[in-house]
Amino acid sequence: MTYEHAAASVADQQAQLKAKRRLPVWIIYLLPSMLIFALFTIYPFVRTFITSFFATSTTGAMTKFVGLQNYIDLFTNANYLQSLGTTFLYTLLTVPLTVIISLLLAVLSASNLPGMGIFRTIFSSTMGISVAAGSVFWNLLFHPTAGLLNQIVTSLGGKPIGWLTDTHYAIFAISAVSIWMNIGFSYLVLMGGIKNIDDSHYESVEIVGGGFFYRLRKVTIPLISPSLFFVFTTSLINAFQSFGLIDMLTSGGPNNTTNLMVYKLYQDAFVNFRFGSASAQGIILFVLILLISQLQTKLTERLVTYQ
Amino acid sequence: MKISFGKRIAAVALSAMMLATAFAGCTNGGTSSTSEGSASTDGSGKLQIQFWHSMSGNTQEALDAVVAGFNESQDQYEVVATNQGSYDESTGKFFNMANGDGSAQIIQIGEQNLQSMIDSGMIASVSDLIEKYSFDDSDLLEQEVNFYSVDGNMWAMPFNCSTPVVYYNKTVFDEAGVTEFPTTFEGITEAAQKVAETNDSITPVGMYAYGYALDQMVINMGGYVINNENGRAGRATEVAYQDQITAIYNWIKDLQDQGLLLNYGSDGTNTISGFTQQQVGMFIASSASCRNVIDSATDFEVGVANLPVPEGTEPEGVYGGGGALCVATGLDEEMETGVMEFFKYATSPEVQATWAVSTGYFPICNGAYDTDTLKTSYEEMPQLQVAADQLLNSNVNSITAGPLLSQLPQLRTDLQTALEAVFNGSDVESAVAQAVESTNSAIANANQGVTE
Repeated sequence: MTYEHAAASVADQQAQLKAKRRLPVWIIYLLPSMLIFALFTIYPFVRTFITSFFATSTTGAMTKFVGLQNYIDLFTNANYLQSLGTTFLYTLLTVPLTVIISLLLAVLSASNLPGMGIFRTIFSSTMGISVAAGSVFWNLLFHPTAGLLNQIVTSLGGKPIGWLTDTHYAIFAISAVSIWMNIGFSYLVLMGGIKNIDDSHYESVEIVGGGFFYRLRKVTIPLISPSLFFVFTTSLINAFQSFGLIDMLTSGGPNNTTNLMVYKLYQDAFVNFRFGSASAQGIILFVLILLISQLQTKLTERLVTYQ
Repeated sequence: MKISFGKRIAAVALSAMMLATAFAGCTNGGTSSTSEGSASTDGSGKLQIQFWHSMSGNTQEALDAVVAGFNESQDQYEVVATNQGSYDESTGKFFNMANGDGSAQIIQIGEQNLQSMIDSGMIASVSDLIEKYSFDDSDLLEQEVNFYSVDGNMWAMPFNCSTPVVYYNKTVFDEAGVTEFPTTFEGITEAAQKVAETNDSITPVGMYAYGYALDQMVINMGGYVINNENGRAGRATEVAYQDQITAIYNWIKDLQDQGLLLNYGSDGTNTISGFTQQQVGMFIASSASCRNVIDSATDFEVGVANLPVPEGTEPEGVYGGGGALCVATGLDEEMETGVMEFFKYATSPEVQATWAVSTGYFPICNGAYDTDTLKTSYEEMPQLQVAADQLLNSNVNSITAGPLLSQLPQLRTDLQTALEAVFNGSDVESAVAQAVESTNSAIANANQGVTE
């Protein structure tokens, strides 16, 4: 180590010591957002956690400590267990398909051929449709007697299908709508990822002489893996928190086959005013999402490459 | 790392502002509940009364007309009506506001919210107000008073009354030779068979899972929905509808097995559009939609009939459901006077008659039935009168007082779920058993948190 270097590092240390003695500046910068976060996220969370151990009055006041009773009741309640199962099924049905379809659309529309902009607009257009508007539109299509889908089915000689009223179809119908609604966002993120890939990578593939799938497998997917990971995680969390479609289209029916966790939670809290049980459901949902996103991160960590 | 002095000052100032607004918010919420009402005057010096309701579409227009009529009729008060979503949503918001600043002084509730409202301690007894302000309540329908009273204390002012009724395509049933619409389950099944034989483009019976109609049908068959005499003799602890509901589901299952029934899940709007487009011949829904259904059915005549009962059962009648108006606690005298003035106006015969004619709800005061407005309209649209008669002819006893239960929304959801199970081929017994278990555990859970 030369003399100059040593002197520089001593000066650095002195500066650091001085900085430590002052009030850390970063706190001042973080305070506004920390305050909002504490007020609107941490406080309600703590409050929910505490409420989950109480029986509550109709206004949500904690009236009697019941320990783990709310949790025990939930895990012995057939409806709740069914709701858990339905949520997993719904997630399995929607998340992989959403990602795969939007990836395909993104890859297909990534080229710079003239007119591609039209397709890109169409593919991402569902982002601009609210859940409420989308639901109303699909509700018309699914109408048991007057809906377009059943008119097509009957004109092909089939029997009308109870898309939202038959226990065998409802969850699939809801999942299809959900995929349709979510494709816009995933498509946009993945498209952004693809557009960031440097052309030189593709030129190398051309030199090697690889085809479409080689390019997809060796260049596109690895290079957009951060975007893919992001889309996957957010879709997963969104699926677990799905509410709007259910509320608008099926109200959890028929026979509870589309009664997802958040919809049940909402019903118990704001329709039946059993806040204790609803809080317990909120905590269970939190733990579940936490575990699954952790698991997902662990499993896919090695597959994600950051440039 | 070096940060300019100016930037640091800016950051500190921002943080301070955040804190200040946060605390300001707190103190605001803390003091407003005590000074409620006195401050809420508008520019013209009129006292504003916040009125939360759940009317939408053409019923909202009719309600706005009632409110506008009141605001023009005097110059001291101004009622501000806002739609706050469904009855359940509106009630939830009301609880969350804890009678603080910006909350409602008058809130419209559905019959299913009554017990929760009473339990919350956030509404004043309307009976007390009636006495305090010498309000004349002698003209109110006794069936309505019966529902909204607990131990002789009325907790909500009846306003918009409706009961479930059968809507049927009179043209189609006439063509099938059914000129008198049947009053029994068996009769309807038979009539449906006749329709199926004469008309192959229409499914005779359309149905959606509608909890309110189901519990009203239990009442109409002379059964209690919940124990302790519908929760009137003491807080209900479990459901009591098993016998009646089993009979109802068996009837529906039979219709379905014969291919006479088409189910619309739990979607009332789809059922109505299916009916008006002549895809189904009849359905059961609230009389509140009466005007809407008649106006939309342009190609055929709409008939309205009473809820059916099994053969050999004498109809007990129905309870006066629909909506009623609750008053928040802690209002000052001036505000209370304004509220009672509005009640006086809103429950007066002429206003109730006009309201009834433009919606399908029926008047909650006897006087309205003598008005020309209602008489002419009932002559033109006799269907509107059926629902009113069904209630007016009901017995007045603890059965038709109707269920009093904070978990009534849950009870209805469970009944709907069970019916959907039956629609999808489940056997009636296990569907009912599941509903009973689910509702009973919800009642137990909710009762645990009640402090009497």
